[in-house]
Amino acid sequence: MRLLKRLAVNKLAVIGSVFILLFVLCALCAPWLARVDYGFMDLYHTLQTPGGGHLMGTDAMGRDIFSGILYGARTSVLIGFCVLCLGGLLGAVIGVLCGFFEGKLDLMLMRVIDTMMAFPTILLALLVIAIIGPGLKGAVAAASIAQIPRFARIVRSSVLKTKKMEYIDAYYVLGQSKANILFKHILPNGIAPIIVQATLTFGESILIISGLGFLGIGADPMSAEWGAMLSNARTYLITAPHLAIFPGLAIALTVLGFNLLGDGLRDALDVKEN
Amino acid sequence: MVVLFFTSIVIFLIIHLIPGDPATIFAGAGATADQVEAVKISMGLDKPLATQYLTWINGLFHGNLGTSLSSRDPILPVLAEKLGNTLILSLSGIILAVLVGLSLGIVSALKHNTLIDVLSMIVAIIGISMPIFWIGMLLVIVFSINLGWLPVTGNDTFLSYLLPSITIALNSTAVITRMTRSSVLEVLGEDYVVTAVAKGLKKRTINLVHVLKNAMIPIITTIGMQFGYLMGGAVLTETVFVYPGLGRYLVDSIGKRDYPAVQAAILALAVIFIVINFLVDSAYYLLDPKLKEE
Amino acid sequence: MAATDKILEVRELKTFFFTKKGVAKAVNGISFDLRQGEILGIIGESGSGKSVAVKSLLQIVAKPGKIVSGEILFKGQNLLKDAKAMDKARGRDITMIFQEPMTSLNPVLTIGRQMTEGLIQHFHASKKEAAEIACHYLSLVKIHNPQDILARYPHHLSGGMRQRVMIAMALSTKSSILLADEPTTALDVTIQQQIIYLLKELREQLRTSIVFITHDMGVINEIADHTAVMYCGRIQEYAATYDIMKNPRHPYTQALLEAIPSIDADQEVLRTIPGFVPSLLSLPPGCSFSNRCRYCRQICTEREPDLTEIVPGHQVRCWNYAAAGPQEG
Repeated sequence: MRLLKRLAVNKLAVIGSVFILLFVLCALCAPWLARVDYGFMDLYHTLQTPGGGHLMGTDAMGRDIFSGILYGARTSVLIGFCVLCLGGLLGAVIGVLCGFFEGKLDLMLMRVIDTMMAFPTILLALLVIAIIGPGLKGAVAAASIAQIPRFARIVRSSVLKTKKMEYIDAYYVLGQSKANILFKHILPNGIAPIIVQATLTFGESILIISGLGFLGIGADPMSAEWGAMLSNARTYLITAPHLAIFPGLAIALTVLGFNLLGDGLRDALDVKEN
Repeated sequence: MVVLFFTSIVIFLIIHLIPGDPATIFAGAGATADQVEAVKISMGLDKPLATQYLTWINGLFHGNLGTSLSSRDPILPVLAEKLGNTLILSLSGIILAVLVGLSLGIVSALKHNTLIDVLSMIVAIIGISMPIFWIGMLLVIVFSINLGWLPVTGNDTFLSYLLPSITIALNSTAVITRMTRSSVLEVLGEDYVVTAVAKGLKKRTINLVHVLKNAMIPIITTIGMQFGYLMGGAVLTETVFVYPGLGRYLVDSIGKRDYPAVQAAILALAVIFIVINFLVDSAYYLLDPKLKEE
Repeated sequence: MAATDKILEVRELKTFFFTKKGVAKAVNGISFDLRQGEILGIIGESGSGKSVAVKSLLQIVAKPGKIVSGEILFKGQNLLKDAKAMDKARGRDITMIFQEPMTSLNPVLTIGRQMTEGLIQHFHASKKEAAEIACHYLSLVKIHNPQDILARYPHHLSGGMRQRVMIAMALSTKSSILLADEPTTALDVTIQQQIIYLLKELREQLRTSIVFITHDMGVINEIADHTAVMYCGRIQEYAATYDIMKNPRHPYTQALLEAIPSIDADQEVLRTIPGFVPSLLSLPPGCSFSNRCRYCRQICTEREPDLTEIVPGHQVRCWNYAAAGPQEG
């Protein structure tokens, strides 16, 4: 496809895609790549530096860090998808409602959306966690809610822009129903910025979830989640810095991959910021 | 003003959505039902919601933000202190971010597609991908543990502010750099810049006056937003560096179910956001002549 | 200086664009003279190189464009060799106005600021002096409340008014040469007429020479003393406008004139020029118009003709100018 070609020219986007592929591979092949289960605690070999059977060393409870990274990838992939679906769909629905119907509904909803966007994501997430309670479910809900405004904005502006195009009027005059026009003509035109946002959202959600995990109010601190692993690493910064390096590196590289790809897609699809 | 009022209602309602009964917590474990009931009455929790809200608002106007459930102390002085701390952190962070971000962004745009441009863009995109708490920990590992130059925690000496400020600034620097670069690039492609060049104006004049004045408009919004993010998002940095700021206070309060404290903290943050938003809007007004009319 | 003194001499100017896809020869060797007080019209379709040509005169061609060779003699100095002289002349002795008045003025600066900054920089005038000069020129372009206008922003003015401001701005430095890159194309017809009339008046008053670019034969006819027809980066025909209109000798010029729909003649089909403009990245050997020319012969596809003076003051770049003999006007 012409799109793939334009994308391939952007070397950074290619690198990003490679990172993402690695990430997905880790997630998929975790059970086979990991030598031991993350839950297995080898209490004779705690806080080991990398080497000798443990590719990335072990943590304070003797758990293999490498397998933590691999299973953490799994967690992140799943979470990313959930956030994308929940936040993306809800946001898109709001965006379509606002864009299509305009008027008072639009004004009201957009005010809410704008207020949400003015809040730092962490804060928003904190609030949601405060209400729902800590844990993975809360974290996913929080991250999803944080993404809603972005999708809403993008979809809304897409709908508004396409609505104003003259060919839409033409279809309407020719007798096509409003719903038909919406699904057949308006939405497909707005796909490009949505794809870009989806890519970036995946990366962002990983950052939020790991941030919440780091604070101890996200994923279970015992589970294989990169943020939680980093939180555990804090106590041992002096004695075992490798505990902090690997999970953070995993987060950074994965998010970088999504950001690079997202940027590349934005250029290739020629999407402009609002 | 209306926004503030509206916001306070929203905050109040949200807080009351949080599960858990403050009275039970306050009374402590092992309290009998009667004792809990007594506490409830003394806290005014038996009254209807609207009354509770009005009591709260009334208290606000008298400078009384309520009493912390966990520490039994009035919240206001504690909050003020934490708020001040976070403000210092955020301010130093944003100043750093603006200084570095603006310069890097402008240079990148002016030297479009050269090595320096590509490099700073790569650094910028790495900057927005790295989790802030990880950066903090890395800096601690390098500068505090290995090199022993800077202290890890606390906020007593000037040096102790250094690492947290840099950490918190990193993300924003990257965002500001990218925004600046794209804004300047866009302006550079405009017709009126060609006119200015054709008029034989000095390059410095063109860049400083014609280009920047136009480019700054979206950049200012970004800076404002970033400052807001710093204020609210400081929680992660504060946790890494055990910095006594508002973010940590908020997280701790949520964890302890200290509702009055949570309410007060969120209100404070909300006020700050509204003020920042207002300032950014005003800046917009001043920069863009088209808005001055309206 | 005598009225017929040459103020600008351009010799074999070449400006190429070095793109990833190859070298586009946008201006491929043009030469012309400009006399004081003369209005030279350059006509050509999009891509003919006319815009790049005038931008090259000011040396403001954007990358990846680059002036490759040639001479631009202004008041005896070769501006291509003397950067200082060019910097001095740019925006002062040689000024330019552009096609899009809606976007050619800076939206966040007042008109006054934009009109006076050039004066302040080039002449070290004080703000007050510069403002006075600006007002003077604004009234020359028939703007009735110059003091008011100086304090306003571009978005307060209509397209026609903005273009007048640009003209005033360009002339306020007492420039000898005004380069006008399709200044009327983006305006509606009535305003177009006003601007053309205005420019002619100003030429009379100030004796400024004007290089006027357009794709519109009608406009050329109204404003230009001499006309150069450009195609694929070369001047194909040059003569006094009257001669070009009455006696076009280059097949391209003839085709352009024929393509103008006539209000009296009984036309069924609009006349067009068959074929396509060749890509500037790969110009054909020989005459660049050969693939569309009705008189095309063997030699046309092999060797490019030189500019020959068939009659004093009338030059044509064509092997067939004899065959493409005198036509009906």
